[in-house]
Amino acid sequence: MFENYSHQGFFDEIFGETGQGRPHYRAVLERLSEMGPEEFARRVALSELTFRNQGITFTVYGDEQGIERTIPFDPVPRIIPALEWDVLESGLIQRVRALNLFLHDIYHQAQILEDGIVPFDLVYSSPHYRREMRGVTLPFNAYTHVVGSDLIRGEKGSYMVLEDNLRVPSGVSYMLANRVAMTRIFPRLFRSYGVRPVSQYPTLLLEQLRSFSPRAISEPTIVVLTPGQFNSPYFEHAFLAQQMGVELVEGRDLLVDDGRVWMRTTGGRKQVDVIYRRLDDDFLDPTVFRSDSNLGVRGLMQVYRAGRVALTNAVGTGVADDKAVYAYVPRMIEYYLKENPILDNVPTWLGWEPEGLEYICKHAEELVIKPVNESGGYGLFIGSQATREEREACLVKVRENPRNYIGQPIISLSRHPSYYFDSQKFEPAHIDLRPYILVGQDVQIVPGGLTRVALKRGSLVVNSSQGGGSKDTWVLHHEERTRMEEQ
Amino acid sequence: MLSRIAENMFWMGRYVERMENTSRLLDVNYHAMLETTAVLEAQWEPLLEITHTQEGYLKHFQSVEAYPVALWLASHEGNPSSVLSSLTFARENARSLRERISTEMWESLNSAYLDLRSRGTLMDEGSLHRFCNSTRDASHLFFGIAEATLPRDQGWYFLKAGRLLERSDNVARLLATFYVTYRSGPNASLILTHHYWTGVLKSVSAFEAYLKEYQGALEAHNIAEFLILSESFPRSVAYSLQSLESCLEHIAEDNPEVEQAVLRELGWLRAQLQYAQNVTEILEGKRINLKGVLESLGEISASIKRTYFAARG
Repeated sequence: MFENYSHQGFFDEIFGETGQGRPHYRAVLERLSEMGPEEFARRVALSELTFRNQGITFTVYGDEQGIERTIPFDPVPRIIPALEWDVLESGLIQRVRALNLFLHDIYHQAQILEDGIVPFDLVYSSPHYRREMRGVTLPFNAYTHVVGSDLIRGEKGSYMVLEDNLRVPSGVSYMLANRVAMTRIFPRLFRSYGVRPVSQYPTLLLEQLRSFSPRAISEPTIVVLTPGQFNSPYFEHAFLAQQMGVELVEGRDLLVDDGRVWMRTTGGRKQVDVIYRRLDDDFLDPTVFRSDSNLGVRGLMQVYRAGRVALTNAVGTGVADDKAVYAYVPRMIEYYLKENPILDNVPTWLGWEPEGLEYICKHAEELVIKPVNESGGYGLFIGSQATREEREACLVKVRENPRNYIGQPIISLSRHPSYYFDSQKFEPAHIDLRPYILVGQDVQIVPGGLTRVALKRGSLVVNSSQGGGSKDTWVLHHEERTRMEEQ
Repeated sequence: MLSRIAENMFWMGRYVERMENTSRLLDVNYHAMLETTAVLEAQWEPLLEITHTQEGYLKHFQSVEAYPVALWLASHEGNPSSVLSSLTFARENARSLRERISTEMWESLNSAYLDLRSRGTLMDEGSLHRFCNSTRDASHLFFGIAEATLPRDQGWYFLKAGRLLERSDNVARLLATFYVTYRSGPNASLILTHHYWTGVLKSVSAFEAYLKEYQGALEAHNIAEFLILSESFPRSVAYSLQSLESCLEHIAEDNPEVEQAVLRELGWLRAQLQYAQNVTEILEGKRINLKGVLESLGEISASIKRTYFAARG
C-alpha cells in the first residue's frame, strides 16, 4: 500500500529519514498491511456515506453548484506521543494565559502599550479593537473562552504556532465526528493503543459556560447563537447545542427588554444568562456594530456591558488574533509571565513596519502574504506558486494598505500519508493541528484536536473551504507509549 | 420551547404529510386513468385542483395532459407543492432542527432527499410508480422513527399537529373536488362510478377499510360519510381533528399563560361535524359545507400561528 511513497523533502509524520516507521506508528502500519487495500477502501467508503447521510457538512461560499459538502475524512490517524503532547499543552496554556492578560490590559490600564512593548497604533488601528469594551469587567478576567490555535511543524519537525484563532474558531465537531468514525473503522487499534478520549468536550464546554452565568441560580439559561442554517459551520452549532442540551437560537429568537436578554418561546419569554455566540462581533448588535446586520440582537451590548448576560467569546478578542499583533505574542509572554515562550511563532514581517514592508516587497516570491484579519484561508498569496502578474497585483494591494498585510516564509508543513481514492494509494499530504482550548477559571485542552489535511496534491492550504480534509488525532497515554516503545 | 422551533416542527409535519398525500394521489390516479382512456377522456384538472396548483401549472404548460401533470406534481421546479418541493421544504426544516430531532429522523429525510435529487427532475412514466412509492415510504419511515424516538414534549405535539391538520385538509379538499365531479348522475355507468370512487378511496388509503365497513357498495354518500365522519378510520376528517385536539390540549397544558382561542375554534368545528344530521348536510348544507370546513381549517392554522409562533415582545 505504500509502494512508491515518498517520505523525503519534508518532515514526514510516520516515516523517519531512513524510511522506517516511527515507533508510535508501527501498530497502525501493521494493521493496515493486515487489512489490505481492498478492505481498507471498503471501510473508508462506508465512513464517507455515514458522514453524508448524517449531514456532517459545511457550506462553501460562492459555490453555486453544491452548497453542502462533506468535509473529506482521511482515515489514517495522526498520532502524538505523550511527551510531545505535554510540551504542546504547556506551550498552549502559557500562550492563552498571556493573550488573556493582554486583552484585559488593553481594555483597562493598557500598561503594555505604556511600556512600549506593543505599539499603541498597532492596537488602536485594529478594526477588532472594541472601544465599547473599555473598563468592562468579565468573570475570571477571561476573554478568549474557546480558542483554536493552529500549529504546524516545519522541516525539522518542531512545532510552531501559525495563528491564534480567538474569535469564533470552528471545527471541533469534526474532531468529535472523526473520532466516532475511527472507532468504527479500526476498533482493534483503539484497544491496542492507549488513545486519550476527546468526547468529554461538550460537557467541559457546558460547565465552562455555566460558570459565566451572571445570575447565581442552579439552572442558568444557556444558548448557542447561530447566524442560521445557511452559515458554513451550521452543522457544528446544532451539534454542540444538541450535545449540551441547550437551545440553538438565532438573533430573531432573542430580544432585549428591561435591561435583560430574553428568548421567545411558545409560553412567553424566558431570561437568557449565557450566550455562546457563533457570529462575529460585527453582527452582534446593530445598534452598536454593523447596523445592516439582522443576525444579532438590538441592545445586546448594553446588557452585556452591564454584566447581565455573558457572551462567549468576549467581545473584542479579535484584536489579539490580528496577524500583525500575533507577531508580538512571544513578547507578551515574556512581559506578563516572565517566562520564555515554549512554542515558537512563525517568523513574521509586518507591512506596518517600514523594514517589514521593504522585506515583503523584495522577497515576495519566498513568502506567504496574508491579510491580517481574514480567516478560512481566504486572501492568501503564496509567492512560490504565483505568476509575476499575480505577485505584482498583490504587492500593489500591500503598498496601498501596509497595515493590513504580513509576510511569512513559506513553511514546508510536515506531511502525513493520506489515502487517495483515485490512485488507490497512500500519498503524502501536508497537515496542521488545531487543538481546542477552553479558558475560564482554568485552562483546559482536550487532548489532540483537529488535524487538517491539504488533500489537493501539493497544496499547502489545509482549510476546508480550500479543499482540505481532516483526520482523527490520537494523543497517547504515558504508559501506552512506553509499552509500545518496549515492543 | 422556542417559537421558531415549534413553527418548524409544525411545518415539517405538514410538508412530509403533503409529500405523502401528493405522491399517493398522483400514483393512484395516474395509473387508474390510463386504464380508462378507451372509455372516456381522462380528467387531470381535479388533481391540480386538489393540490391547489392550477394557476401555477398554466403558467408553465398550455394544456392539461397526462405527462405534464405527472411531472408537475412529482418534481416540477415551478410547483411549490410538488412531491419533491414538499420533501425539500421538509428537509430544510429538519436541517434547522438538527439539534431538536433524533439523528435518525434527519437521516431518513436527508437520504430520501439526496436519493430523489440524484434522479433528476425528468422521469419517464415507467419510473413514476417507483418514485411515488419511495416518497410514500419515506414519509412512513420518517413518522415511524419520530414515533419511536422523539420525546413527547411540545415538539412532538407540534409535529403531529402539523401532520393532522395537513391530513384533514387534504381529505376535505379531495372530497370537495371529486364529490362535485363524480357525484353519480343518471348517466354514469356502473363501471365508471366504480372506477371513480375506487380512485378516490385509494388516494387516501381508504379503499380496503371502506369495503369492510360498508360491505362493498361504492356509493357517493357512504364514501363521503366514511371519509368525513368515521370515528375509527385514521385518515377521516373527524378522526384527524379529534387527534389534533388532543395535541393542542397537550401544548396548551405546557403553556398555561397563553390564551386558547384555537381550542375553541377547533371545538366548534368538531361540534358542527359531529352533530350534523347526516353527511348530506355537510356536503351541501347551508350552515356548514366542505368549503366552510376548509376555511375553518385555514383559520385554525392561522390561529396556531398567532398563538404560538408570532413574535411577542
